[in-house]
Amino acid sequence: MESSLLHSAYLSIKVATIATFFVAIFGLLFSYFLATRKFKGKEIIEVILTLPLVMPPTVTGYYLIILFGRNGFIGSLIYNYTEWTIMFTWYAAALSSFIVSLPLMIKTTQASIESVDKTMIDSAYMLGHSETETAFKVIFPLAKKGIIAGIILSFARAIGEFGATLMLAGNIPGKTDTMPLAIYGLTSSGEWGKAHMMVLILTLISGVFLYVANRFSKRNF
Amino acid sequence: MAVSAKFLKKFNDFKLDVEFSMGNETLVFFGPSGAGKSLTLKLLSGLICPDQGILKINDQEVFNSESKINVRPQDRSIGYVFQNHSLFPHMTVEQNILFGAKGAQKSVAYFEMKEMLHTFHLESLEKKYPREISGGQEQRVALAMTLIRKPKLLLLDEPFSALDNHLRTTMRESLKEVKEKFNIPIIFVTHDEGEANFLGNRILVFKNGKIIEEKKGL
Repeated sequence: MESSLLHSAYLSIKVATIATFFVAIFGLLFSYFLATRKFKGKEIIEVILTLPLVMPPTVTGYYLIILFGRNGFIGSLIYNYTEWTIMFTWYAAALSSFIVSLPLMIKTTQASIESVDKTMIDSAYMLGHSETETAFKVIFPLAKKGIIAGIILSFARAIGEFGATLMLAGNIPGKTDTMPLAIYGLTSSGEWGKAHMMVLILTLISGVFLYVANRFSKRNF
Repeated sequence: MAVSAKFLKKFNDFKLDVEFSMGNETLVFFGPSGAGKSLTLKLLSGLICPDQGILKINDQEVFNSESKINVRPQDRSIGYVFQNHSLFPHMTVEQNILFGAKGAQKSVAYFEMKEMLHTFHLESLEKKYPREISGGQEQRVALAMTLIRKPKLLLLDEPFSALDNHLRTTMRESLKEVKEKFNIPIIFVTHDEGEANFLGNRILVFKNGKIIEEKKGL
């Protein structure tokens, strides 16, 4: 396989793995609080966190530019202190993947945590276990089917991310061209052979991850 | 007095207003569904907070709405066996019992777990999961898991309601043995009159959120 194709495959896996790592941590945290707490404005927070699931990826990318661009709310602060911007780096691709796959993790995991029998939680409290201990020893193990399925789906979504990544990271060959971006570039320049191969690889990866996610969500532990 | 309680709790159309005290005995809460029996257990345990009231266990205040004392459920030293789903399905019998030995040294907890397995005749089941054992065995594990913590008060919310008649009778006998061996006050919720009379030293009859009658057990 050509080195440019290998680079795109390697970059996609790196970006998706890092994005999924953070999605798993933050997704679990957000899901837990949304599933176990009642507070004012909860529905608004749920909508904000889920928006990237339904918005066009270019709109998500636009918001990310406004936030993390060199002149953005957060981006300008980072640039002032470090003279570095996330724009047009692979970090931007990871950030975009993180943002678009987070809602998938939250939706799957929140439903799974909410389905844990409240008696189990009460029972753990009555046996002297704190909320954190109960979360790690009772809630998460009982919700693990949904949690694992959420992580797998997030990875599949992250590896296929295109629109927001294009907006924030650009399509710089050898630097930010993840597989979906490389496919776009190859198709535009008429390099169908390479594009075929990359499409096949991406389809296989997505298919395998979907299959595994389905198996996990049906498996009895 | 081992336990004295006075609670007021309102839920939309329902109002619970109860007051009772007990010594080292088995007290039965008897009455129809929705009378406030299980809610009273939840208020005793601290899982639900009363609107007003006071709760003393062994002369120590664990709840007082006026002086804003509200000891969290974890620290009340109350054992609670729920009606259903009292075991953790992802843990073996052994792990379930050990989960109740929170705070104990590992070797001590293990020794006590083995003792519990012996007391409740569960020796051959220690590596089995709750789905692999019978309803009666499940309730015995639930008792072992609760009692390994050495609670000062044991709450039992219709623990035998899902069992068949034969098993219920056996479990009633076992519970009497538990009372003798562990020597702690027990509050037992049921809507079965025979069970109430067999187990209770005293029976408090609940109706519409109030205690309307007090009887002696047979």
